[in-house]
Formats: sequence, C-alpha cells, structure tokens
Amino acid sequence: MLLDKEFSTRNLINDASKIAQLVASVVCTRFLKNPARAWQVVPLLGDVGTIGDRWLAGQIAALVDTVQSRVRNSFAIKVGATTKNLTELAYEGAPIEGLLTQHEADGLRPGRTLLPRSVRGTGSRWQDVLTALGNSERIDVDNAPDLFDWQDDDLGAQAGTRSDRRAAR
Amino acid sequence: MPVAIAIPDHVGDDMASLYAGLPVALAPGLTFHANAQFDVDVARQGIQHEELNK
Repeated sequence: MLLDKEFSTRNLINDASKIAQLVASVVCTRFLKNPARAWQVVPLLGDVGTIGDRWLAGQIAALVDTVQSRVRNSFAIKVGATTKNLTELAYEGAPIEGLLTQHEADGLRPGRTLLPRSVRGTGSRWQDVLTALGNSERIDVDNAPDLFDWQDDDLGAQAGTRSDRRAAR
Repeated sequence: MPVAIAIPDHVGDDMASLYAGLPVALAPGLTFHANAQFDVDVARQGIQHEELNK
C-alpha cells in the first residue's frame, strides 16, 4: 500500500470534487424525476451547525458551496411538457406563497415561469434552496401591491378573486 | 480510489457523517454521507488537517 502513496495522494486530493460531482448529479436527476424530494438533498450553508473542528467546518462549507455551484449550472425541472432552468423560474416569498397565479407572475416577472406547487414538496426548504442557488426571481410581498394597480381586464379570470383579496387586506 | 455517497430518500433526523471505510466524523450541514479514503487521525475521531483531505 505504501508503494501506492503517490498515486493515492494524487487521487485523494480530488475526492471532495468527486463527492460534489456525485451529489450534484443525484440532485439534478432527482429534480427531473422526483422534484418534490430533491430540495431536501441540496445542502445549505445555513444547515452547517457548530462543529468543534473549525478546519473541518470550513471544508464542509466549501463542499456545500461546490455542490450548490454544480447544481446551479445543471439545474433543470419539468414544468408541463417543457424543462426549465433557474433563469426561467420565479417563485413567491413565504408571506405570499400560494397567492399568485402564472398570469400574475407573468406581469411581475415577465418571461419567468412560476414554480409549480406540485414540485415544491413540503415545508419551505424549496424557497431556501432557490434563494441559495440564485438565478431564479423571487417575488416578495413588496412586489405584490403592483397587482392592485392592474385593471380588471389585466387580471382576467382572477379579477373577482383579486378584488376579494384586496378587500380582505 | 473509491468514493461513495449515500443520500436519504426521506427527511430524517440522522446527521450526515464522513466515512473512511468506517465512520470518522459527523458532518452537520451535509445532506448525505460521504465515504472516501480520507487520511484520518490516529484516534479515528476526525480527519487530518491537510491538503490530502480537502
């Protein structure tokens, strides 16, 4: 085994990169085949808790960053018959989650597809992941009042619903 | 050198760990277990702080 030391060293240095590549590959496959369960697999820096070994904590943070970077570049998710990457998606912030339609998202973030609810999974991790990955457009509560300036014709079939929501504010 | 990962299918309370054949260190923040031929410390309670383990 000692005779293989140099060979081993050369390969071991790339282990973190290989691990990141493997994980990112699994994550991206899961986003295409079972997206609701993919969010939980994306590591987040916010989850890196207190580790006594600071050096190891730094390595783990670097690994998380590498995985996210690879997922960011390869992310694809099926929306209907099409496949969308991060730059084509929009999503709501937690306070207005579930309140927007694609029609409204079109007005607030033209050209972006609202992430379908069916692929979001449970909880709010999907929002944390999209925020961490970046490139997608977040629609926050600050943007929502713009909808109140729309005419009823702009709102289409949602006009009544929107008026009801406005009245409820 | 073999590298392996294990990714859970369900959300659980299990904390991720690093393995060098056997468990070596907890890795909170990771969503997967990872096994590689890390250079471990003598007590096998952590990995060495060296370029080899980056």
